[in-house]
Amino acid sequence: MTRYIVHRMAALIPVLFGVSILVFSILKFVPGDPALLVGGLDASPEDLAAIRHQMGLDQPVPMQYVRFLTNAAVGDFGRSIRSQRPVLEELAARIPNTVTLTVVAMAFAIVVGTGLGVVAAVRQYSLLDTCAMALAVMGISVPIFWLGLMLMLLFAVELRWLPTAGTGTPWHLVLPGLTLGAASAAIIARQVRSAMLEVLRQDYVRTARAKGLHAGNIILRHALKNALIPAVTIIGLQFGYLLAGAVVTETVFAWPGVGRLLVDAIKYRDFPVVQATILWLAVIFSAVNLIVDVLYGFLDPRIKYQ
Amino acid sequence: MNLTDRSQEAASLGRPVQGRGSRGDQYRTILRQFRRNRGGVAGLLIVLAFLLIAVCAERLMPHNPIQQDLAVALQPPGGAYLLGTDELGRDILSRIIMGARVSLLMSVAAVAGASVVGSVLGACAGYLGGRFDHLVMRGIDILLALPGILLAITIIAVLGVGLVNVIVAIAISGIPMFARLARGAALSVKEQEYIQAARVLGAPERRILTSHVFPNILAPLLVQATLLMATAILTASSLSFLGLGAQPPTPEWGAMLSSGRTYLTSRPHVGTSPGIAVMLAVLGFNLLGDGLRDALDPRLKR
Repeated sequence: MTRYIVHRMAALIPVLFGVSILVFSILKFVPGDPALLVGGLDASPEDLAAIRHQMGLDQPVPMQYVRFLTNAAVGDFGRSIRSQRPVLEELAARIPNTVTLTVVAMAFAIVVGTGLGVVAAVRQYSLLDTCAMALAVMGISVPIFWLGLMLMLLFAVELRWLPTAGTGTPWHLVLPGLTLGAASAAIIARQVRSAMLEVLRQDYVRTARAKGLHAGNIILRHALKNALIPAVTIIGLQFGYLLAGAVVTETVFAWPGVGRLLVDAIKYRDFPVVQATILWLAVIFSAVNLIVDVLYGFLDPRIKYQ
Repeated sequence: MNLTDRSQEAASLGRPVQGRGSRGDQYRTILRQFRRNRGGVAGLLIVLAFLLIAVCAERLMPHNPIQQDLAVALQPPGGAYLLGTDELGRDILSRIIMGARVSLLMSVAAVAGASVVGSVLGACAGYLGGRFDHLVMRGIDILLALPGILLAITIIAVLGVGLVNVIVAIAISGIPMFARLARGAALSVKEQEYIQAARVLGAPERRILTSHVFPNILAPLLVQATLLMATAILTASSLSFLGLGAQPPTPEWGAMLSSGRTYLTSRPHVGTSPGIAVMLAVLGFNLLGDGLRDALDPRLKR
C-alpha cells in the first residue's frame, strides 16, 4: 500500500510539471508587454526596464520558467496587478470560502444522489424510478448559472426566504450549495441506481431475503454498502467537477471564492493571480484523486495495488 | 427486460450470420433497440428541432436579433415580441433562434475537433504502443489534471477571450475522453485474429488502422461525441456567461443571461428563456447519447 501511494505521488510530479508549463505560458501569451500591465500605461521606459528586470523578463525563457517554478514552490507568485497585494495572500483569503461551498455542495449531492439512486433501484420501472431518473437527466442538463439565477429569483426575490447573494450566515450557503451540487447529485443518483441494480441481483442478497431479513435491512446493510464502493470513484471525481463548477456558482452568487478570483483575474489580465489560482486548483484536484484511489483500496479489500 | 433480451437473442440466432446481410441485420436490431427507448427518441426529436432552427434561423426569426430599439426595451412577453425584449429592445425570441445557430456551430466545431484529434491520437497510441503511446498518455494526464470547465478556462487564459478560442478550449478539453476510449479499444482490437490475419497478409499499418481498427470503435466514439455535444453547449454558454466567451452583441444564450442579469429581479423574462433554450438543447443531446449507448451496447441496457 505504501509503495502504491509513493508510486502514485511520483507519477504526479510530471503531471504537475506539465501543468506548471501550461500555467507559465499564460504570461508568455498575454498580448502586449507584461511589464506594461504591471507598471501601467504611464510608466516611463526606465520604470518598465526596471520592472522587466525585477520580473526576470530580460532573461531567456527557460531561465524565466525555472525562476517561476522555484518561486511557485515556496508559494511566491508575486503581487496581484489589480490589488498590489501578494498573490498568496489573496488566494489564501479565498480558499476557505471555496472549500466550504464545495463541501456543502458535496454533502447535498451525496445525500440526495444516494437517496434518489437507492429508491429508484429498489422500485425499478415504477413511476418513482421514472421521475427520479427524469430529474437526474434534467440535473445534468441544466446550466449551473441559470439554475442559480432561477433559485435566487424564487427563494430570495419572490419568497424572501433566503438571502440573494454574499456571505455571512449559514443561510447564505443554501442556494449556492444547492446550485453547485445539483449536477453532481444527478450523476451520483444514476451511478448508485445502476450499482444497486447490479448488487440486488447477487446471490447474497437472495440469501438474505431467503433468511427472511427485513427488506430495509437488506437494502441498507447488504446492498447499499457494496453498491457504494463503485460510487466512491464517481463521488471522488465529483469533487473536481464541484471545484470547476464553483467558478460559475461563485460568480452568480457573488461568493468571494477562488473561482470568482480566477474569472475576475482573467478579465483584468491579472496574470500572477491567474497562474497561482490554476496551479492551486490542479494540485488540490490531483491530491483528492489520489486520496480517493487509496480510499477505494480500504473500502474494497479485493483490490490489490501493484 | 428478460423478454426483450430473449427476443434479441432469438433474432441474432435465427438468421445466418454472413456477409452484408448480417450487417444490415445489425443496423435493424440497433434501430429497433433505439426506437424502444422513449428517452432516446425524445432526445433525437429535440436535437433535430434545434438543428432545423439553427439551419433556418433567418426564416424563423420574427425580428432582427442585433438591432437595438430602446423605445421597446424590456417589454414583457406577448404581442409583437413573443418572448419579450431585452434591455436594449432586441427581440429575445429572435436572439434565441440565432443563438441556436451560434451554440450548435460552436459545439459541433469543438466536438469535431476533439473527436478527430482525440481518437486519432488514442488509436495510434494504443495500436503503435511504445514511446509514442507513453508520450500521448502523459500529455493526456496533464490535460486531466484540470477538471471540467477549468481546463477550458485555463486555455482561455492562455489564448485570450473570444468565440473562436472557446471552440479551441472545448475541443482540447474533449480530447482526453476520446483518446482514452480509442486507445482502449485499439488495444483490445489489436490482438484480435482478424487484425493479425491482415498483418500476415501484408496490409500496411495505416490501412489496418483505417479499415479495421476504426470501424470497430466507431460505436462508442459516436456515443461519446453525442454526450460531448451536451457538455460543449453547457461549457460554451457558461464561458459566455462568465464573460470569457462570445462577446456582445453576438446572440449567444449564456451571454444573453449575463447581460440581462441586472434586470432579472424586475424583468425575469430576460433570463428565463435563454436558460431554458440551453437546458433543452443539452437535454436533447444527453437523452440521445444515453439512447444511442443503450442501443449500441446491449450489455449496458437498463
